[in-house]
Amino acid sequence: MKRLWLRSKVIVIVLALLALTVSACTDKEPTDDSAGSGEQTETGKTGNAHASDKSTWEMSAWPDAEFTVFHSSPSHQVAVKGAPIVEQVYERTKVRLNIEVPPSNIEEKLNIMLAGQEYPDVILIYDPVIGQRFVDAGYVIPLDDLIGKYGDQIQARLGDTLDQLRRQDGHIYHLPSSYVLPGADRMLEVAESFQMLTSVLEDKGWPKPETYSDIYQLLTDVKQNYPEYVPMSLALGDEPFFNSLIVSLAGAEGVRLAENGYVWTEDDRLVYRYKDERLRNSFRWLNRLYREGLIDQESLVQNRDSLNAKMSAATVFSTIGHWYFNMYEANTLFNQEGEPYRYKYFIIKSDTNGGRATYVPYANNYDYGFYVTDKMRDPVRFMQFVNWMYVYDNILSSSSVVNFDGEDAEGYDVYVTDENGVQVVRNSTYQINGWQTDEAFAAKRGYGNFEYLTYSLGGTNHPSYTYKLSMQDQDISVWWDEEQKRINAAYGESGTYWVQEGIDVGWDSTDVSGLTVDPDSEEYGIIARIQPYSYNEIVKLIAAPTAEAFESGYDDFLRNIEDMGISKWENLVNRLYEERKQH
Amino acid sequence: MLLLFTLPFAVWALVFCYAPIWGWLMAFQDYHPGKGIFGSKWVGFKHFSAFFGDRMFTVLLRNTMAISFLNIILGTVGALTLALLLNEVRSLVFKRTVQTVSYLPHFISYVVVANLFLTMLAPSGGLVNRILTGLGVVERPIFFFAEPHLFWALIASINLWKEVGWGAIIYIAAMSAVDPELYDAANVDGAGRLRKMWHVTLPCIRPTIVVLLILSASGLMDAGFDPSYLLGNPLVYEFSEVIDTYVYRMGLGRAMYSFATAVGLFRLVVALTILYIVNRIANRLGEEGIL
Repeated sequence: MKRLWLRSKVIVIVLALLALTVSACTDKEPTDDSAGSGEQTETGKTGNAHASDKSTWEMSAWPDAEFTVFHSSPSHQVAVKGAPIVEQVYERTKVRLNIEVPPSNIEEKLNIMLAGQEYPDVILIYDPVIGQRFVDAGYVIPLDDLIGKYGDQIQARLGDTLDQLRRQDGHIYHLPSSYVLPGADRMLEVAESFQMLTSVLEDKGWPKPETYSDIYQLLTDVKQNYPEYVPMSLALGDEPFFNSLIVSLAGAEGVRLAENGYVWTEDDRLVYRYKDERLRNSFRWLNRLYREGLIDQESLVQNRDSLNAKMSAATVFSTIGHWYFNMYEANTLFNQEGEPYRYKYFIIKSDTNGGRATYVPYANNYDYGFYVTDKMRDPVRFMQFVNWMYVYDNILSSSSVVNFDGEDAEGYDVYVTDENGVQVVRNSTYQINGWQTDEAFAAKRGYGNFEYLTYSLGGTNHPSYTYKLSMQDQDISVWWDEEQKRINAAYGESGTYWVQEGIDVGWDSTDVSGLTVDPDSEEYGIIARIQPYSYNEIVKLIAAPTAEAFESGYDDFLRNIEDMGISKWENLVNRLYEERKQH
Repeated sequence: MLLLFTLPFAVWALVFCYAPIWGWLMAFQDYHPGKGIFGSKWVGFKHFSAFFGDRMFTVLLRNTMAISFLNIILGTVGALTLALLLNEVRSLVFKRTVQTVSYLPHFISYVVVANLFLTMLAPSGGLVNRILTGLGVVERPIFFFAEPHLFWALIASINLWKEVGWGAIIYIAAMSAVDPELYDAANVDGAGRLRKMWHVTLPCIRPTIVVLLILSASGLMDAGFDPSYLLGNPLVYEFSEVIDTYVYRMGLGRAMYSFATAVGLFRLVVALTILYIVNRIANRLGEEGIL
């Protein structure tokens, strides 16, 4: 009896453990009641009961829908629960977006998704090579039929551009994100630059550094006379920071550096960026700064968080890179604490750059955008939502809470008003104060939650817009706190200086951007190995103990990448460029 | 009947350890996620050739084996030494306190450990440099994690600190099984503590040491992902990059899945070979191997 009872107990336990093991292996499909039944077609499910409401576009009475989105920007602030803009869109469309943001390295995250087949409904991909991988894998669905049936606004806005989006198989797999409409006036804004702490600059009578020599003098002075500051600190242990540093240096040198790692030379060729002599000059300059103790040792290994912490503590005089990522947090804290200094960015030219600086590339390509995956349960509803987003008024309400009564009132991000007989939309004082005093303001309002699904209104004017950009808003001094106003006034800078600044340092990269190398090609393997090698070697060269060691090390580096096959990759990229020119 | 208890674990091993083995086929293909293994093109040893011809091949092999070797030697000697010393402690309270404190770091995430040591060893404001410069041992702070030739020693030391207590547990358990009469006999012969350690304790736990060493030997190609990934940086790349981090960067960073699988498979083959050789050596020396 006892043996029988023991045996049955053993069997029960074993079965329970087995069940546990098997259940762990089961692929659980999330339940989602928002999608109704549909029928399968070549492009996906055709939709459900609310398809017949298409003619009204009054989505507020439709069933709730939730879509998961991967946003390819680590700096994106995910909206908090109840964020007003998110709720506003929900009230009108009954759509919610569940946004996932990568921790840092976007490429890795996307490749993990590719390998693990774990991806959300919608993916925002900036790299067309990775986008093509998703297409080749069959993980994303063609959008032609959906656009044809439910995207009248999309077709109206994009027009012939839709054909530019077609892949080799003739289908459209992505819609461009935050692009500038053809015919729109484009405003260019500087991002990559050189940032400095104004406390020292004020003490020295507001010198305006314009060249590498000016910076060198300043840093030497800081080292000698301001020991409480590190003259310059970088985050070279962080590859995204390193890439923004390269863009800044390229801008200073007047180098036309495209996103894919090649430089567009004056003789109309594309070369691997580190082979450009002008960039080598910038690294040579950084090496000199390092050898003379003007860049702190920790720069070589620290990450962006450590750098930001030092900047927030105002222990660093200067840095290089994207001004928003580098100095926004520190300046916000300084403002909160009432400190009499800020970080300010400057446009610098290298001593050998006799031409213009090239900090801001802009293109009319549509190589990046969002893709709809085969995990999307209700692609029709999603396309209808995107189509809704292609209406100007809806973009406005999905990016801000608008006061149409013309009042600059609390709780509104923008307001509509009359400016010289033209209806314009202006930033509210409430929004301006929010950005200046709260580093989590974007999340609390819900900024950026939807804009990547459509064309950009930011910084553009188009004849079709209901409300134009306010000319007064081009005066961005409204965004400056009192301290920033005081500092910028010392440099004679008005609030509209950025307009001409952007024009002066912008360059059109349309012809050379987005030349995609086949991921299965030998050349892709070559550049995949060379990129990490280059990153590590350049950082080591910046830390070279002598100028001679730098030069010989750089020569060795160039020899090594030749041995690794960089010329082969360059030949392919140039071939792609020639083919594009012929078309 | 009681063997049925092993069934769930056998299923688990089958599903999570053996079933994924078929993924090794990716190493012989140009794997496409969408096409799957049976739809991807077969390319034979193309990726192995690419790896053997890669300038990083010898670097990875050297770094992996060096770091693993240091970990094994320091780990074994350190754990053994700690176990021997604790075995001599009479006070139970003290012994258990030391044992507990020594194995607690094992449970700390390597991310925390890495940040701890990065902060402690930082050139500006780091505790170690402040002590060294304060005592006049060095004139200028040492940038520990920027010195390529210090990297292996640093990793081995950090791993020793983290794992010595945990590793000593098995040795302490083995020592507790030594017949006390042997110690009594040694006392009668006039043996002191060190003599007893050398002539009684160590010979009695020799089979345990051998088995653990053989198992460790199979990990000669496993230097660990966390230390190299978290503590490595561009300056020490030539000494910090190991096979695990390289597979991660290539496989997931660059989506070169087949290449990364080939590298991983190469590592496995070498590890199995080493395990077999070490096991044979142990057998030849009269010890019982594990194979």
